[in-house]
Amino acid sequence: MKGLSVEVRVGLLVLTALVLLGGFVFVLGGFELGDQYDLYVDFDNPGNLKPGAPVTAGGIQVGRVADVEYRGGRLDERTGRRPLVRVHVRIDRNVQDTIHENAIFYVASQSVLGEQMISIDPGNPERPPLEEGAVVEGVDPPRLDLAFAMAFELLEGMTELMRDNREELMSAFRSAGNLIRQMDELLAENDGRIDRIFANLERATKQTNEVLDGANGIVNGPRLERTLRNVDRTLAAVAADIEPLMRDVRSMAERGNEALATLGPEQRQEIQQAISQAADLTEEANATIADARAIVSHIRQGRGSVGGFVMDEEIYDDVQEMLRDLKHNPWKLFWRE
Amino acid sequence: MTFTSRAESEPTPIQALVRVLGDARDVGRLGLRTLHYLMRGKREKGAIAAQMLAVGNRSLFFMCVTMGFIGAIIAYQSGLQARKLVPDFSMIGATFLKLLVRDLAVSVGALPLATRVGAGIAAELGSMVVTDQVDAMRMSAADPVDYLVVPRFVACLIMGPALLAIGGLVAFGSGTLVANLAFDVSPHTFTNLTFVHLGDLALAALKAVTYGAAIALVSAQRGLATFGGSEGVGWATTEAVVGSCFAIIVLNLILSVIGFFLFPA
Repeated sequence: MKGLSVEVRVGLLVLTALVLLGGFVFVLGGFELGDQYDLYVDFDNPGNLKPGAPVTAGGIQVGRVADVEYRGGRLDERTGRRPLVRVHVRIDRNVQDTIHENAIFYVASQSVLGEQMISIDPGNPERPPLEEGAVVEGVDPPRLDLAFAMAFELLEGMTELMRDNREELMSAFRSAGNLIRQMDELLAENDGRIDRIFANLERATKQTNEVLDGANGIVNGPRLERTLRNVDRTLAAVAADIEPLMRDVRSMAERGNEALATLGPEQRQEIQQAISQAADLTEEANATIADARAIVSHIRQGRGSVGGFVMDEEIYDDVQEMLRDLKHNPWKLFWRE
Repeated sequence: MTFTSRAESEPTPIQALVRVLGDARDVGRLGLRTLHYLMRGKREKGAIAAQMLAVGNRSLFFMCVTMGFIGAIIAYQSGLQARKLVPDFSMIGATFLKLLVRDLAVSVGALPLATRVGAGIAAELGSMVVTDQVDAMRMSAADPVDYLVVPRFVACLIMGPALLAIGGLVAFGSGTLVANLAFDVSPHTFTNLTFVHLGDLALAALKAVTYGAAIALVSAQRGLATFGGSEGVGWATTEAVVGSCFAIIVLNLILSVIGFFLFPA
């Protein structure tokens, strides 16, 4: 160094500083030497994501955020969506084939206090890769600020409520305490009964289950199916026959009306008399039937000669024995020992 | 000889304030004259290169050692504080670099630069004043601002930022080493530029250039205002260092506020 001129020595120092500064600017500016391609990710709120933030896939940096644009819900005719924020990311070309159409883009943090970045879940390899310039929907980061604000509001409301209604709350707590104590005493006094209730409930549940199993067997069995099929068939036949039947009934009723219209008052009186006679006849027939029923009942009970003959097994056996004996010894009809 | 320098007196706060404002006015006038001669002056050939060598190359070792210690201390203290708050050192390098680039490398680095360079300028010019060399130049129709202040101003303007850039790098290196040895943070993890942006670098460059100019002008003004022989030169040197450091701190506040609006952190 001693042999160098003043200008050279000064120049070397300045050059060193300039190289350092230039290198720093180069690194900070995020200038990439490799080939990259563009993707656009829509978010409603990407948090504190800034241009220059890293883009990682599987924890490895594969690109950077080039721009964060506020779109304010304006319609994007290309996608038909109304994104609030669109993030432009530049990703290394050599990983393009690994980021697929169903890839998930979400905002993550490098550490607890770290800067936010975009993390990519590359998606299913069976799906085609995302094309250059594609616009995808990203997953917003959790809004901790919103959660804190809501929690704070809730706590504040609760505090205010407790402060304004201290007496009522104390009274309610006291009542609740008394209620619990009384419930406890009640349960202790009726311990055996409650056990029985639960045992009954258990039994009832078991029986219900059995009934339901049986019902399931019936519902799922062939018999019900067959019955339903028959009902179906019957209904179909009824539906087919009902119309002509109704037609016949209607015509019969019309004819009856016509016939009644042709009758004079005398004839109607005769008919009424005939009907009343028929009613008397029916009454008598009913009485006769009742008598017959009584006789039959008598016979069934084995009372009377006929009853004894018909209902007594012994007489039947005797007669049968006698007939068999007569068959073998017909002479007994004529000759008595 | 009875001699009473300004540094020996005990002024009241109001007198001190008036004196500071008067010095600021004098430095401002000197700055305007320096800019005038920078545009139109005739300088001795090689004068600027010689001053750049004195300001830059000869201060390099001192700056590197000083900034190395400063970087190590900041990294160690940052690590201690971080360990109390969160048991996570992954972002310590990022915050250290942000702090270093945006403020500490230039503002803290400018203080030892002021002591080394400012004292040299004030002592040199003060000696020339008390030995009547400056008066001789004036008699020869050569303005001392043109021949003495402008080369030193240009040298500080260029070499100041260069030294601060190199000093910043050394501070970062020593910080990385300390973080690795004291907190087991790997150099790769420590070298995290996530929080540093181009705005921070622009603000640091603006500060470095401003501090370089301030050191040169304050020290030259104190040197040219020297009186009272060799003791006066000593006091002028002291006042140059104190004035330069004070100017750096005041300018740091002003530039930080400006930077807050121009390049938000």
